Amino acid sequence: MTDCAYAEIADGSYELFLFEKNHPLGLSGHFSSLMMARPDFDIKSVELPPVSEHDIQNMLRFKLRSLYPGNPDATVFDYTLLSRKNKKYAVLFITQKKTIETYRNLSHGRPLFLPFTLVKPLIRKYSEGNYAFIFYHTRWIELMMVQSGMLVFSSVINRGESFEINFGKILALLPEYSEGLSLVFICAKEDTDGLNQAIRGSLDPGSSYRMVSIEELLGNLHKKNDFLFSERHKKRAVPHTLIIFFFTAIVLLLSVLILHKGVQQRKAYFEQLENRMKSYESQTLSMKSLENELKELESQWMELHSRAPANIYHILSELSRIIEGRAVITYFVIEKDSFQFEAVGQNPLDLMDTFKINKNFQSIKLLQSIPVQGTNKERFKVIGVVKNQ
Amino acid sequence: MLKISKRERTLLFVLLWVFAVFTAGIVFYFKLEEMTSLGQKTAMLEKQVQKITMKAPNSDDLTGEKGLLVERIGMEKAKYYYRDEIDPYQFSTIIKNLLSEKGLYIKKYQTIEVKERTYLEYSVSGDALELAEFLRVVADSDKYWSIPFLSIDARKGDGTIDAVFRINYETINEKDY
Repeated sequence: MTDCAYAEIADGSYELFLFEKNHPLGLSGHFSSLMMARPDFDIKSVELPPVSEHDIQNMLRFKLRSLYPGNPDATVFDYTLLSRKNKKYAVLFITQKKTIETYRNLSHGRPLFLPFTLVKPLIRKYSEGNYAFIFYHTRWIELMMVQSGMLVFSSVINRGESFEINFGKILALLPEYSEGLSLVFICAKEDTDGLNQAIRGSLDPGSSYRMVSIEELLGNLHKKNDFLFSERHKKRAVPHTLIIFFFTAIVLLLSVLILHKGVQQRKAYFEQLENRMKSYESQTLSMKSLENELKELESQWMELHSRAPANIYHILSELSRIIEGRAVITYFVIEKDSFQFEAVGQNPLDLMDTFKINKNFQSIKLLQSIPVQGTNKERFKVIGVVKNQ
Repeated sequence: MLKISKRERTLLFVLLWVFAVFTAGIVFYFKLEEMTSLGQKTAMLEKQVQKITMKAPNSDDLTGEKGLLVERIGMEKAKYYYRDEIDPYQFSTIIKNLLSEKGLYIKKYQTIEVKERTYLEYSVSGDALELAEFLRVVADSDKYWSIPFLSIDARKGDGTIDAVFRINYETINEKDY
């Protein structure tokens, strides 16, 4: 992150410089992110009640009215969170809307940050005890008073030529409990030696302090969330990929379940068919046995019926019906189904034709016919067989 | 608590995915196979059921037919005498009475054995209509009376006839039916 830039106000307008050797940045100069001038901002620390991250923004917006006297419509803020032993603090960075617009125009959409963004990792590192982080910049110095990992206050002064005067101003800002306070000086690498000498000259012998170079801190500036006044990414309760996985898994599971259900339904239908088939089979068996029984009964009935004797009265009635008016039977004999009769009448040949078409008789033969003298009649003999009915 | 890096998490995620997809794939494969096999079996069974349904006789018809036959057989059996129900002498008395009742004159009657069967042979005379009436009663009797031989002679020309007939009754074995 050596290509980070910072903004300074000179003659009422902003100028951009690269951190590296404080080179002024031309119009076409490249930089990855921009550190805004601390004097443009007010920094407040607010203890947060246990609210969801989603509600923090709204709560801070509400609280801002009591923290900052400016017109709320013309004021913007961003925040970063610090937590310590179940307590949460929000560090608010407040400024005018137009100031942020100016920085956005200067950065051309590149990320913005403040010295606190760089110091935040150090605050986490030195979370025990009281620390004063003194950020030495080219034209201003920021003091960040941190107590047990929590920002108590942050203040900024213009950087004068004399270290003693500057240091005096800083010490004046420190609260009463500043005894035993650890000092951490943050400055550009090129200023380290000069500042070291000046500090040693000003502090009591044996007093300890730390020196951290801005370049070193810029190296840690990599997380997107460290930057300010950018679109705050809403942290999803459930990661996007997990949601996709979850839904796809549900779709897969549902598909498997639907398939399983389909198989179960088919299986049930198949079992139903099998049962129906079995019942048909047993029904068919009982039908078969019923059919066999019927056949037996039929043959029994046929046997009984075939044994029934010939109905002589019926045979004689039929015979008399055929020859009625044509002849008179004088003799008739029947043994079993063969019969013979003798009759006197006219034209026995005609009678034979009538016998032929009668279904009760068969094998009818005219044996003999003798004309009766003095009449037009004939005496004739006929033999035949009664059809088995 | 065990902390895992982003790379490990991604790997775990991919592995989980592969496992889930693989498992689902296996389940899908077996379920589809089961479904296909069930489909084939079902189609075969459906055809068989259809065939059986078409071929199967109507049980109501068969039962009705059976009832009808049983009734017919019962009626037919009722027309036969059982072995010990009657003897030739009892039967002879019935016939004799009937002939007398119908006004026919019995000239002679005798028993004849033909093929182990005993027949009653009657020689009667009388009016032709009386004989016809006798024959009608024999035909319409509740039991089967058989006349295997009958000769009628009306050559006298006076309206009377001489007739010879053999008569018997039909029997069945109770055990046979």
